Amino acid sequence: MSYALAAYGVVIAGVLAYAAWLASTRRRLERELAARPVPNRG
Amino acid sequence: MGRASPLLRTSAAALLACAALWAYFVWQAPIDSMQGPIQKILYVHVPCVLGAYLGFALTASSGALYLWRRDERWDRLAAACAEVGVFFCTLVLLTGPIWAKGTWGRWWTWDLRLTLTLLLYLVFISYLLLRSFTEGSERAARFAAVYAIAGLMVIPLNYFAIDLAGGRTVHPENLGRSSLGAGMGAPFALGMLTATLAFAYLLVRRLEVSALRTALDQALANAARSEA
Amino acid sequence: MNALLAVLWKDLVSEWRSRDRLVAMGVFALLVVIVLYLAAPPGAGPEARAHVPGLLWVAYLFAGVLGLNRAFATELENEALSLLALAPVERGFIFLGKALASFALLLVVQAATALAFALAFDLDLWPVAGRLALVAAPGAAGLCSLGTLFSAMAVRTQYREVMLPLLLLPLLVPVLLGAVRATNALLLEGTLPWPALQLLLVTDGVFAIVSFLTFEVVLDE
Repeated sequence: MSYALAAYGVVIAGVLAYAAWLASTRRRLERELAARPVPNRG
Repeated sequence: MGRASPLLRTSAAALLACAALWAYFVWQAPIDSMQGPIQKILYVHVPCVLGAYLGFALTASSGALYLWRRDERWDRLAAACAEVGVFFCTLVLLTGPIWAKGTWGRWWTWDLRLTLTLLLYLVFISYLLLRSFTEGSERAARFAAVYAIAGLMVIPLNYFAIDLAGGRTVHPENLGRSSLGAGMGAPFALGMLTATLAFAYLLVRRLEVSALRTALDQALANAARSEA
Repeated sequence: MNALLAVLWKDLVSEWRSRDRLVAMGVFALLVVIVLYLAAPPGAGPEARAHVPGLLWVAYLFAGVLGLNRAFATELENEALSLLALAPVERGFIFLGKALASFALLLVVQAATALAFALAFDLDLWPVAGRLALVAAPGAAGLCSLGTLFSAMAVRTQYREVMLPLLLLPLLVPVLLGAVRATNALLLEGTLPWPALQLLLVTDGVFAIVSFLTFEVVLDE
């Protein structure tokens, strides 16, 4: 029984962790993109 | 720079709904007479297998489309599918041994399906390493596509190869609808659907990251050019 | 077609002049045989002996990978890769030329290694020599076809020598399993199992076609 719970735990935790990591990477990249000074093509 | 795109919101909602339904049915599913409660790992393990193979199939087809159309977006899709696919493959290789330890007392055996999954995993890893270490992103896209196609060809060959070597022993045989007991069809099917939705959701997130990276690279390139 | 022969001839002639790949492969294979012997000494009982035919393929694999790593070395060192790519010929034929050259070298090394193996493990290979060649050749062919394709890729990556085995080995499983199964049956029972040979030939066919067609995209610039 505990094995089953462990397996489900691994999967659900894994999906949540991966999604969270992707979300934080997205936030970081958005920040970096916004921080770039847009070169003036005047 | 919206917080969450409509696509992301929809896929997240669909995933949560399906996952909830699936969890309910897993909870309600009858306990297998032979294996006991541990049999319920089936409803999470096999869906992960689906995720892994889905990932690989999509990687190979996107790669092929990239070679045909030379549109960078196909390559980005291929890379994203490979990452999500390898994630699911990792889950397969984690949940499988957990089940094995609980059922047979051993973490690993060189059985057909386990070996195939391990090989798939190695092909995924080699694919990702090839992408990282190739000099030049356009070249990396081409090489990766070729490798994925080669890998796809090998999967059925591996099946016959390992079968030939007598590796089809311990893993439970393919579950047709008939071999699943009553009340097990629903959690199983829902599990597969949940895995597909989870794949889609993670893929959407991953593609967002990919798009941002490309935008960032372009911004950097523009900045460098205008400074020059 | 001329391109194929040109590339093949050039590779074989330059190999004949320096013999560096051949010698490297041969010596390495011999070293592997010695190491394997130490790992599985003859007196260790029938169970250990049963794995010996498979070990032969370990030696073949190492030698093959070593040779393939050097397949595009001269082109790379002399910056001739782009020239090769720009040649107005079907790139698939360049692939075939290169692959056949490696194949020829590997066959020679395989024969020598089999001899060393027979001596080290006290096997009588003469009665099965012909059929062993029938197994060794398709195995080498599979190795060299995908190997040449990936060698062309690896040469453009950061960790050149490591990249080739990394890419090649997971995909070589059908070849290895078929070859080892066949060699096992051949050396231990004296029979040549058709299913194993069939797997080898089918795999070789698939590999050759895929490599020939995709080489176009791999040898570029």
